[in-house]
Amino acid sequence: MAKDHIQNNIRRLRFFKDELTQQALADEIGVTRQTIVAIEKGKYPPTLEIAFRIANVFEVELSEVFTYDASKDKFKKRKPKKK
Amino acid sequence: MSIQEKKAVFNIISSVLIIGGYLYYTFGIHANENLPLQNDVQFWAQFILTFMVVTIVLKIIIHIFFHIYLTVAHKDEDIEFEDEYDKRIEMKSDRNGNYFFILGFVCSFIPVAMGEPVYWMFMIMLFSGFVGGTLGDVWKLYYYRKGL
Repeated sequence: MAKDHIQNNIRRLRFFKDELTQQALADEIGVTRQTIVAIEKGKYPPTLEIAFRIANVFEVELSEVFTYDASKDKFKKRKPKKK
Repeated sequence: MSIQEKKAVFNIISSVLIIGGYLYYTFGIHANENLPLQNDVQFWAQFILTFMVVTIVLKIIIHIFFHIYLTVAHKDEDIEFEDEYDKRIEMKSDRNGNYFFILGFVCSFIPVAMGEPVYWMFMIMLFSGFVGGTLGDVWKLYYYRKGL
């Protein structure tokens, strides 16, 4: 159940941080390695808190870790209430 | 396989063994005493209450051995640790299992309303409880493999 509209650069960022392992990143932000695997593969969109922690580990802005493509986001807009 | 997946697989196997063993004990070994009582509501009340106690006691014992195994197999890991991903998967899979149980619970009244023997109600209730619980663990495995 990958989310196409939310992409991430965690694999690239790990590479540029001396090939930081998934386990080391997981330990750093307080999650399991399995969670990092799921986030990296786009199978799980993390909470804002975890997203900020990841950005903090790589010392970059959140937008450098996660990118959002609105054109691919299929969500149902709420209809405005009739007055 | 991760610790959480192992726990789900373990739960499925232990649930199948416990219910299978209990059904075999009640309707296999002691069939002569119990089968004539299948239309007796008191028998079913005792059957379910005893089953609950047996399940709790056996699960505690089996879990102790399973935790010993996990501690040995995952020496460097905290086997009790759960993060937000684990908690969300647990909530979603438990919800799916509970939906099945509620559906089974409601359906269990249909045979009785149609004039069928009362054992149908208890059998459907027991079946939906067992399948609901097992389905929860199957969903857990599915979410860990496919993502949320």
